Amino acid sequence: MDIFSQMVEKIIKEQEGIIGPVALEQARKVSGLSFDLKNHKVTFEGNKKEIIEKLVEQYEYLFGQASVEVCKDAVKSMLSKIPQGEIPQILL
Amino acid sequence: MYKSDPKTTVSGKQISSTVHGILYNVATIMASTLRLEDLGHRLLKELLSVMRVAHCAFVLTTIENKIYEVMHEGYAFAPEFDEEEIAMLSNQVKMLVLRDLPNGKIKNIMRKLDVAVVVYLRTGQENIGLLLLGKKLSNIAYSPYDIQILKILAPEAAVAIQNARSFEEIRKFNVTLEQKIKESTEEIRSVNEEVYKKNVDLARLSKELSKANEKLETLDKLKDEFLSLASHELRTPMVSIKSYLWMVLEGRGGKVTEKQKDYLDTAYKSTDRLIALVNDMLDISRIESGKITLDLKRIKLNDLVEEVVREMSPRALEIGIKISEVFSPSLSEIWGDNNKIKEVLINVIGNSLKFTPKGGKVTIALNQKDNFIETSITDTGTGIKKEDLSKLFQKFSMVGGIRQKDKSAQGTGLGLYLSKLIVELHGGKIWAESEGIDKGAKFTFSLKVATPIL
Repeated sequence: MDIFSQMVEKIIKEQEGIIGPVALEQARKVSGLSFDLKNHKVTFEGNKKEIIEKLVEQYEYLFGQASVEVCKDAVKSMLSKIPQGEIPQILL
Repeated sequence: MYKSDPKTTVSGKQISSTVHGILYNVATIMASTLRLEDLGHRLLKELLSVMRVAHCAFVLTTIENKIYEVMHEGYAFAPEFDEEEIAMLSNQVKMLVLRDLPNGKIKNIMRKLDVAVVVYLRTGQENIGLLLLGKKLSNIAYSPYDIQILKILAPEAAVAIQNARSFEEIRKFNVTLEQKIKESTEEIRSVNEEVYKKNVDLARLSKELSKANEKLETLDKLKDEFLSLASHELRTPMVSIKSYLWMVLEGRGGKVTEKQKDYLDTAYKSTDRLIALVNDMLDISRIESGKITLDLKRIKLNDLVEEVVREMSPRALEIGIKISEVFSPSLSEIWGDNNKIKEVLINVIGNSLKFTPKGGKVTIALNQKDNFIETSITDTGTGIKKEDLSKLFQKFSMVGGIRQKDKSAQGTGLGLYLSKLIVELHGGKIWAESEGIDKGAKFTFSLKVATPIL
């Protein structure tokens, strides 16, 4: 599981802890992203950085800045493993 | 003075051809736009051109004759219309031609408004407004041909205006609706954000609680381990000490002086109390942690009380107290754990014996009240202050100390508390009554009657 997949999994699980199954429903609406968290499978169709940005924006659209902060907090320990240019801007 | 328009002399064929031309133009305008303002101004401009008038205006009204919208063309300054005057004009039945009107209020209004002709805009029975036309540029009067054209045009224009007005209203409604949806969406989003923030706090609290729970579980485990230790490592040697003390007191280890016997007797009683305390604590711990299992059976309380009284009679006799029971012959059976109920009886009767002076009485009575059997233990002992009654069943209650007749006969302070736990575990209640110091006390506990066997 690459670092981007881990980020997606961490973000969705963190959101699920707060808003329940809505977190999964919203994540499924993000185009280019499909996942099976039980089996730790995340698939990207397109630019991974942009897809993660869309995922965070999906939560932001419904729940505001607080949800972005939750996403940032969830993946902060992973950011150092990604080249600077590849980090989704919304998570900085 | 109006002059007759030369066009009045034109033939019917010519009129028809011109009307068709005008109608065609009007139809083209009506087909090209649905926006009220655009439609109104284009129709007015067409009229200015066709009728050759100085100015003209549409004054659109509501059902209540209130001015809804004004559109005008050819005026040097924007005209102002009085709602009352427009209402008066609207209430007329036929097209008003200034020249043909008799002097009067209507004519005066038309003069004031600089209007030569008033045409009603009606769709079916509904009045939707007026078309006001000023004087002709040629300064000649409106000809029958002009009037004819206006009569043909008016209903067409009215329908077009009404459609445009409906469209306008729908458009405005849509805008309002969009605005409201936008506002509601914003509101929902704002509520969502608030709920989300609260959820974040809850999730955080939940994590903290989870950690605290884990700590509590560890502590609980440690407590269990400690109790197990107390049970096996503390109780066992205590029993051993008690046995040896008994043997020494019995003279099995040689002769014991009266002084030594006195000391050993105190040590023996204290050891006994310590064992009882450990046993009570173990029982309480098991009940409080829900780890106790009741061995539920049908019990005849008469028999159980008789058994306990028989066991405790020697002790009562020894301290000079008369112990007796009052049986109720037709008592139902209860559903309970025989050993536990026996423990309650021993605790409560023992408590009464402890606080009743020599020569006193302890009476046990059983009564059935509805679906409960009440066991009451009444003594003629030291009594209890009213304010202390509620403290009796607390853990390590100090009330006992107040009633104490003999300090050396101290209990563990857990007996009544343990009795309360056992009774409540059976779905019953326990309580105490006393009229006060030196007036004796009555302890009662109720237990559910067992359902009859069918």
